[in-house]
Amino acid sequence: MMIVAIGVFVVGIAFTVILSFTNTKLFLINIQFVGFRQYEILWNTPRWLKSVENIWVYGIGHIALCMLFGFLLAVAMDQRIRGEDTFRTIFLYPFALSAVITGLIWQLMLDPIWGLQAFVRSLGYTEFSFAPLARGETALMGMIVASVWNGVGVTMAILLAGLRGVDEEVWKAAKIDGIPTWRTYISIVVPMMRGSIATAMVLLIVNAVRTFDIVIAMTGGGPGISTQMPATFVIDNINSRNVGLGVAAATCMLLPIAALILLQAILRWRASRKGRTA
Amino acid sequence: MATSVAIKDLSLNYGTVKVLDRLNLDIEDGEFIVLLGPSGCGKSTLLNCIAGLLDVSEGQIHISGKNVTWEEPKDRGIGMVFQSYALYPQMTVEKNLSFGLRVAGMPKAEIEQRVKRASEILQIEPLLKRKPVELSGGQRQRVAIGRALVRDVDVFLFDEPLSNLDAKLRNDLRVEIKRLHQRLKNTMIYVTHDQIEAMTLADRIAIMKNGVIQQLADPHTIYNKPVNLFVAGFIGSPSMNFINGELANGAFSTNGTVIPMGAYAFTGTPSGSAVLGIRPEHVQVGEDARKMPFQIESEIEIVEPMGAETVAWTKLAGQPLTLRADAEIDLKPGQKILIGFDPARGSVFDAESGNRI
Amino acid sequence: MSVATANGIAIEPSGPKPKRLTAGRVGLYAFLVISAIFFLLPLVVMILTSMKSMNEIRGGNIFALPTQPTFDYWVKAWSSACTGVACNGLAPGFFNSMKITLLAVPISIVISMINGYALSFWRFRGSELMFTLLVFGAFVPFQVLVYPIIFALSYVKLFGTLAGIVIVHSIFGMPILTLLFRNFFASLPAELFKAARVDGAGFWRIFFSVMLPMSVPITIVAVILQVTGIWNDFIFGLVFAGKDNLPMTVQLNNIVRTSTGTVEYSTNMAATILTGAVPLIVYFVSGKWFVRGIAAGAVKG
Repeated sequence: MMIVAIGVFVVGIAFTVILSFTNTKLFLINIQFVGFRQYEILWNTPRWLKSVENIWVYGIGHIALCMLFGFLLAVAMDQRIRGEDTFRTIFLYPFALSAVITGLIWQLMLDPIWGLQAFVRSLGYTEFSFAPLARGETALMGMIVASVWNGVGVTMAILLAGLRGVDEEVWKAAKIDGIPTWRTYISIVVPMMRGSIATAMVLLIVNAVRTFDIVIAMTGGGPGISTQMPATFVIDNINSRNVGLGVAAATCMLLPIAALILLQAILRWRASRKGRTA
Repeated sequence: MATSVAIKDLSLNYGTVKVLDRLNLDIEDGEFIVLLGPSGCGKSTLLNCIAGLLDVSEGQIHISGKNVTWEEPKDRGIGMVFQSYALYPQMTVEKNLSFGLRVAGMPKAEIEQRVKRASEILQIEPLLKRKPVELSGGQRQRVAIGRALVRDVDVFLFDEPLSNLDAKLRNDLRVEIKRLHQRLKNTMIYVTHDQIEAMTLADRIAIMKNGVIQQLADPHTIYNKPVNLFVAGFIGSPSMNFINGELANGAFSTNGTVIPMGAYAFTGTPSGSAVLGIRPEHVQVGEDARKMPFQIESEIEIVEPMGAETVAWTKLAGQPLTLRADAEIDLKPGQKILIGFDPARGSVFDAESGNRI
Repeated sequence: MSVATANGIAIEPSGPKPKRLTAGRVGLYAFLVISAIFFLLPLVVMILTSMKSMNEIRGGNIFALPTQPTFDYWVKAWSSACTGVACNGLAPGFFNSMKITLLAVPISIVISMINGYALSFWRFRGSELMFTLLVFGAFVPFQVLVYPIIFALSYVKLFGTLAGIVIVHSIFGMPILTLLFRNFFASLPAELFKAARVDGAGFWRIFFSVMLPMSVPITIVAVILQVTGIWNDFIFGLVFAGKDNLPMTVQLNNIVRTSTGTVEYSTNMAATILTGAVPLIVYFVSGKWFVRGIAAGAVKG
């Protein structure tokens, strides 16, 4: 069974990559190998270029915000507060909702006529403007807010688990040494959390690359092409029978993941080397 | 001698559970006191209260004449060494030692001097640039002690520092800690469940059970004149023999055997159900037994050769009795031999209360 | 030494430290409460909007309580909203999601459990390599494989069928679940396994008699993860389910997108709640297990 799964993955990837060098329109009729032409077309398509730009902006924004906010939440939860379970339930429940729901509800909240902007204006602040999705430049911001709302709970849970894994006696030693709490977090605890920080980052990166559902639900890729993502580009092209271009785009999506895995492998190899010579 | 640490009517409750029960303890300047007891007796809790890591429910703590009950740990004039060393893993030994001082804003020259002095005393100078992960258990523990040393404090607290080490290392470091105390002459409060550590290191031992100090005395007194059954059974390995019987007319009788107790120094009324305690090394065999006030024939059941000596199991009036004999003496299971002891060197306890009579 | 208190009377410190509400503590709770509001707001809006009439929403205050709370829109979303051509509401989608979930969850879990068990105890040649490749599979973005899978499924005439989407879910669920199970089994004492071998038990015997009973906690976690993941899935459903098997999430999107004239927010929000109800209920019921599941998946690090 495992072999089947691995086979599917390996064969599938190979299939996609090979196809990207062809000019298929659909269903492999009349294939011709065209070398890198699909890639040339790809990198000259404004929509694709915008997608790549978007995924970087969105990705970095999403990851940075999730890590920062998630860390602050984790530290807050670590302070032995009352009602910890209640807070945790509240912070995590968005994760149980699908990206589609997240996109839809935030679309309403950010709508100029129906959402937050209208609410604040009705309170008297008639100049208040908060409708990111209406304009191309800020649509991505709106999406980031929604996706952070959905995902920060998980980041918090991972980082909190890492925080809790720190030996209690190190905390006691720091207290005896007279080190203030904030300094203990920064200088001692965070360096000890490398494992969970790495895990949280990897998870965030992998999910960012896949961004699809929320785009469809929130903006449909618009206004214009301001929120197009590589994932939507691929699906659209395959749906519209431009398979060759679609798989070329897909192959490009694979690259960051491959780079990440390579990076992990290198780090691991370096660590084992150090272990041997130490 | 001035009082270094004074604990007055200290209590600590977790809900309805009394973890520490109205403890009183006066520790003298320069004294090495050991808090000894089984798991859950409250010894670590007491240490953490002294350190300021735990808040007390009632009572006061005074250190070097100052009431520190509400003070932060860093203001109490203490240094602490933990069971798991608790070194800061990402910092070098040198940074570990100096971190607290740097945070306090001490001038660099003084920090350097203190680090140098501490590493010299503990012989960790060659390790200064290494990280904890590169050190052995014994080295890590020395760095942990060093971290307390650089604080230049009056009182050192040790929370089972040797429990994570293997037997050989434990013995070596135990001697080093004793040497350290002789050199520095600071007050040291040491928590352990290991009675050998307690006996070898302490000026006085406080044996604790269920949050109450059972006996506070020097090792010799605790060993020879335990104040109750619990203390008697806790100290000494192999543990003290306990014989159940009755006290009457100046004699201890058990299952028909009568042991004259004339020479024993009774503190209470010598009558009623009682337990006679005899340490295994006080039971003599063969020729030496003839010199003893009380002698009896018995049969050896089990022999355990320990190398330096032999431990044998027999019965006295139907109850198990262990004895320690010289390794040269030949003992075999089934062998009938004369054993004897001096009742005056034993301990008698009231059967109901467990207290010494 | 005495300590002077606020009203100037010196007292001797004794007993527990007086608790002072420091600025730090207040700030901490403020932060937490504000964050909590941020998280709860959308849910509140969802519920309120679904119970208001369109006129009320037009008023512009999304936080106002409905003057005449009604569940009409809920009913409408369930049975008569339009999802493209048909106007049967979410109900068909609900049953489709049920079918897909009830089939795919057990299958993917059973397969992954056996895989995890094999990988953790039965070291065979290449097992480490296989494991690494499988984990790599967890990272691969779906889009890379979408076309080959479309191609393969249509080749065996399973494209657009219930079986097709169940297979897809099973395959894509395998990497993470196998990882989960393998880590779990690896944490069990090896002596159990060895003792069973000594007793003469084989691969399957050990699995059923020894491992399965012990794996209840991790199985619960796996079930929660899978139910949530599969129920909430959108893209697989969109591509592979076929017109007759569209899951609820796809239907939801269709309802919202199909708007002739003004967007009917009341119905949309009601539809959203209905779609999100199942995983939310699972979440609230399972509480701690959910958190443990996330932490467990994170252990691999």
